[in-house]
Amino acid sequence: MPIAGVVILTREEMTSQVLNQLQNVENVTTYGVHKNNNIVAVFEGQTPKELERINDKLINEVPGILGIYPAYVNYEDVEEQND
Amino acid sequence: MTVSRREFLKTSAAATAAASIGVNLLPGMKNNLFAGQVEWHKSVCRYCGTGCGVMVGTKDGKVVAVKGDKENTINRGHLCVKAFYLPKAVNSKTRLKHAMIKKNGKFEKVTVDEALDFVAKKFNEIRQKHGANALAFYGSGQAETEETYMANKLWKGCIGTNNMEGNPRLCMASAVGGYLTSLGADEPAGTYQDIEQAKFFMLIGSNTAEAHPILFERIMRHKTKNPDVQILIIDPRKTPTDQVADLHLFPKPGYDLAILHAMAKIIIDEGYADEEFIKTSVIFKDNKNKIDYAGYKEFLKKYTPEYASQRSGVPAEDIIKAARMFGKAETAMSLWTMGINQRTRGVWANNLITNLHLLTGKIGKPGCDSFSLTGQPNACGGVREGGGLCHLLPGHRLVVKEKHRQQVAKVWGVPVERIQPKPGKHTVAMFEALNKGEIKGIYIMCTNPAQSLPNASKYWKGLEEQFVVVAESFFPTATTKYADVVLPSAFWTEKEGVYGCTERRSQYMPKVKDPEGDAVWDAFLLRDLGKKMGFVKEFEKYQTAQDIWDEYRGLTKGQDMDLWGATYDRLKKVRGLTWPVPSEDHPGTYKRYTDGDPIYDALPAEKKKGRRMYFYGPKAKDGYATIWARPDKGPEEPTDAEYPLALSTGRVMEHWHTGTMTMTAPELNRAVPKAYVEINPSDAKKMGINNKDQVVVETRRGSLEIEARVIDRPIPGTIFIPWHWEKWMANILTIDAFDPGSKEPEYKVCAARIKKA
Repeated sequence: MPIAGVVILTREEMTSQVLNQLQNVENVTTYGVHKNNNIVAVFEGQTPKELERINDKLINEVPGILGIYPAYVNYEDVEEQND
Repeated sequence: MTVSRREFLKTSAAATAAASIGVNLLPGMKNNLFAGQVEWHKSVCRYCGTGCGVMVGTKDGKVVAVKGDKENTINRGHLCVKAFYLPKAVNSKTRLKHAMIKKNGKFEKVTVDEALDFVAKKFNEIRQKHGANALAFYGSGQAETEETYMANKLWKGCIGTNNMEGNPRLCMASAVGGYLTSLGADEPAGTYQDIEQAKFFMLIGSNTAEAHPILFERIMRHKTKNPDVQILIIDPRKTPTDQVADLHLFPKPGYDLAILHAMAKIIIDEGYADEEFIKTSVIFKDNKNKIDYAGYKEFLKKYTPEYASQRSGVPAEDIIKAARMFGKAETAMSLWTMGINQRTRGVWANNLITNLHLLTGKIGKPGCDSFSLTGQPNACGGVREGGGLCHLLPGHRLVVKEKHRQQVAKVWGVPVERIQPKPGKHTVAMFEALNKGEIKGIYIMCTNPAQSLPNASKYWKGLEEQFVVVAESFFPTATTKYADVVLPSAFWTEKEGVYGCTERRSQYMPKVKDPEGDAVWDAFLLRDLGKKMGFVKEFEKYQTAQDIWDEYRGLTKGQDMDLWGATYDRLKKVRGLTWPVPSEDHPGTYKRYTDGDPIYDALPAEKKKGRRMYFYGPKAKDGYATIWARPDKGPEEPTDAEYPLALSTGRVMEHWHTGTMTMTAPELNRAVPKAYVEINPSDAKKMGINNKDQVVVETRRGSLEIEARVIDRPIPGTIFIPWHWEKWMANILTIDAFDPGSKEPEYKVCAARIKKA
């Protein structure tokens, strides 16, 4: 059950528009705009293949994205537990 | 507070991503975020030659996570989509976990020891009956330096043949030839540090966005911050790299040399040349002889923008614009890769790029360099520096030089006469010799030549007929089909060693888990094979990776690529060191041939007087670099009435090379599930081909049925096929003609035709 933290680099003039669109994409959680044109986001899926689909969907369908850069990816089995 | 583990991991992932751009999402918590969860190890990405730092996360002896190494100056915490899937490759179902010997056409499982006994016996029989030159080794720019070093010693120093090659011959050899002939020594003068200081970039023959995404990110971020930065692209194909272009020239494939000459002419004619630098640091040569500046200007007279336009198909006014962009820019950096190197005149193309930097003095200064990008993670470190080609010895040495043979033989503990003074067979010649039966036994390590050689099907005969040993981490591959013996190799994270990337940076990688199954580190497979072949004394001393590295490090001492100061102890702590690094207190070198380079700094004052650069490499005379007046030869196989389209091949972002590693991840296969041929809409219309039609692409060497992708990426008259798939093997179409200097084949252009299937 993979989870990936990514930085999405955007065209500065389109950053707000990209953020709005990302907020409607399933399995993507955004964590704000930072340093003008960087959106921090987390991709998650039930299977690893969903991460790639999300990546491709965003690159191909959301105008204003210059690049998506994974910074962290975890593949360990995730079980619900109390922390 | 009750938090689900999934929420905890999401927060961790977001915080790590934010930290990579210098933002703390969770003040006060960052140090505790991963405590007790995953053990992290500093390493290097396994894929391309960029050299990105990767932190590998292990838990219960398994790789469960990776993150970009924020402390690494190359990628600063970011990765590209390929590294994103590294854990999948380590744990892939296609990992080769035991040795096998083919008996009656079928592989049978054996122990590694039994397999090595069998290989040693066969190799010794071949050597005794047919001589040392009937054996060969074919290695890889993905092997660690220690692994290539052991192969070098076994083949050149013990078996006694220079038939020892590596796949960097297919990707980087023209860059080697270019640097040697232009600057006098191999590898770039600068480093990636120049990116953030450059005012102008020329990206030529490089789809940087897809082939080197992290460097492209650095360029994009730099341009976003500094809108006055200009980017020129010279490439026959529109690619994602175009999103940052200020100007894109689309030459016909193989016809860009005239453009570079025309740019040089405009630079001189319009006063952009650095006349002082030319006077103090540069000589001129035509194809054979030394000429003077006036002679070079005379040579350039022919290369008007109009002439270059006629040759290349690029509008003359765009060539003028490009030259002015280069000339006017305060600083300039050129970056190129296979579009330049994989050509029958790849060395010349390299020379002509560097010509522009030498003419304008835009070299040896911050933000200025003529910088070849590398395709594989250790092509520079292991093969170019380590001497893993048929004419080289470790430490940028040459087999033809007696002094070099003596130095290496002494360290190896072998008789100097064992190292032959004549270069062995280069890659294409080696596989030709296998076809002819002149080579009767070959050891192939960490590479897939049955798929990656140009005109690949031509060379399957030799692989079928001769004794073939394949040491691999994955099974099956196109090459293991032909193996008589397969040996299971430990993969990335299962072995320690050093990778040397594009910017002369050597980085250490730790072993963080046990190898899968019976897999063994390639260096130890070679060591044990050597011992079983009878070279016990020569190989018994290597008990650890550090034993090998330290011996190699000693051989680099005093060489232009001095790594004497790069001890394992240091490399384990730092994010690599850029050579020359001559002592343990030396920080590494940013710029070669100028102030701050320890070799330059140590030169006598009279040599440096009045010169800000001194090119001290073995091929440079009296410290001068060379501007070359090379003819503008086109491709080996131009298009004609019978084959009217120019075929080019290359990469897509999600896959890498022959897909041995990336296609272990099913999601990557799904992202780009099969190969395709890109056809320009105007050509498709003429031929009645629609998007997704099945078509047959034919060249004089083979044909391939494949899906058409009608798209305006290739210019009219050209087509493009990504080369990663065994099922749709682009290399049965490509030409095996090669550059006479570098011996690198011309993958990037041949004549083709298309018809509907």
